[in-house]
Amino acid sequence: MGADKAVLVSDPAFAGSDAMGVARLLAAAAKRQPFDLILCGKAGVGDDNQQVGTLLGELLGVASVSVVTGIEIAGTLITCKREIEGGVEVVKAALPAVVTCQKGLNEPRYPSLKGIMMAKKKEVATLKAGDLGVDVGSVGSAGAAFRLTKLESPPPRPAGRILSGEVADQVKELVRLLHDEAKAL
Amino acid sequence: MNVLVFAEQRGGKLKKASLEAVSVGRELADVTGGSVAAVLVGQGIASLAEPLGKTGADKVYIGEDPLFASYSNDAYGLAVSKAAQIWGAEALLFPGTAMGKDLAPKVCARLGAGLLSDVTAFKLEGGTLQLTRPIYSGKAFATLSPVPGKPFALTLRPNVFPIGDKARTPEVVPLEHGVTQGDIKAVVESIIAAEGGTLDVAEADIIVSGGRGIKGPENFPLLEAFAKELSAAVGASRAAVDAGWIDHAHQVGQTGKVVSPTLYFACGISGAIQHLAGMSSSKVIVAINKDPEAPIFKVATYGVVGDLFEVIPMLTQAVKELKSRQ
Repeated sequence: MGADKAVLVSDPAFAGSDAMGVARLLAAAAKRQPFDLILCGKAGVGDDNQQVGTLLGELLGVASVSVVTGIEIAGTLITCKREIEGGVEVVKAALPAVVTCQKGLNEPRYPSLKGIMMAKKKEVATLKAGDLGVDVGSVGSAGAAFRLTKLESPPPRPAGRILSGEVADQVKELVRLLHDEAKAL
Repeated sequence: MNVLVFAEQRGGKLKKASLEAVSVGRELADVTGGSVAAVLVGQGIASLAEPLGKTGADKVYIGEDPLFASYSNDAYGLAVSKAAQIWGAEALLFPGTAMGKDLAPKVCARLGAGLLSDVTAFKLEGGTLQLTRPIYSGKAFATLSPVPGKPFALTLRPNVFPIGDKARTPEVVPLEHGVTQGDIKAVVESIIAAEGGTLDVAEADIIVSGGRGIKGPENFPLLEAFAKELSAAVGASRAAVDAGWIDHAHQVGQTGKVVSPTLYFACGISGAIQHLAGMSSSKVIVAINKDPEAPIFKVATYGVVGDLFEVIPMLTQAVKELKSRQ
């Protein structure tokens, strides 16, 4: 895709990290080199927390802008478009900054064959707890702020009523149900 | 448990989700034994203390300053953190809005508090608070309890919790926030309102959404006319957005917005799991689809099997007649 270097932050002690744990690890890894801009996704698929990027910015003491659909950089300033209810916020921030990306920001390129071949030669360094100098009590399950007590399937929605017959009759019946039964109209 | 609620306002108007959060705060404080404070940050906001009291706030901190005229997660984050320290907050609540979700991590990083996103239910069991949230695109519900002895924060999914009526006259105090211009690294410069000031799906009580079955951008006015009759917002599935038929701001689902309206119309939407993730907590779901086997019918409260180009105009007319009788 175009990355020049990669670093893997991995250690058994990191297992079970919550968003804050992940942000602490990323902050420790980020501090090992200078940076102008850190890009994260909007949220992890699965947990859907939408926290890590913004936590990371605050831990590093730099600006953070979340759910971004447009970026312009001029000198040491970054201007971002951010989705809000009923519009878009234009946020101006000083670099360095952390930005979390939302769909619409760009079109991801396809990796080229040349890129794939070149990627094989690139070094991927692994950073462990000792390399990062993090307190292992503050990350992993030891550092998590909440304990999982239950994981269950969502309660099934009560079986719905699928209408049939002529469309005109279905529409009439639907309006009656929405008004009289569901009281939603 | 002493609870602090961040009460979001924009342009001097309180968000409904803020009142929902204060109501949850009241319940939490009542079941655990404690008080509720709300914190307002902005300019020209003093009159908003009263509705917060009506919903159950014992105390309202007013963070009023020209520095807060435009939203900055740095400035607002510092102000809310300061309020949490002054109040001795053990739990912090944020509405799960664009602003609340952006602000909560800033405050939690500063306070060292844990944060749970998108909470949809809570209860006290044997003295322990149990908090429920959907994960894996709504395919599972996780229940978690906070590790004792640490402050924690929650963002609450909007439109899920009822607005309470445990009214009181709140004590209103100015917030000694200590924020200076030098603290601000990022700030909102302007807001581009959606075209025609249309209602946002994230805040609407009724949503009319269209999917692949709409067939093209030229047919969205059909849904818009129906939505107008209902004072509803227009939503869309990923298929319709990716095809370029409607702006991404309208997308409901995993890569769009998560909504919980009272009434959701899915028109020509098959019901992929990514779409269900964004709307399955709607109270009443109406599916309109030609294909009786479409998965959307599995979550529908009511289903109409038919061509939406035939159904929607009839439905628009029927709703118009119903409204004129009311």
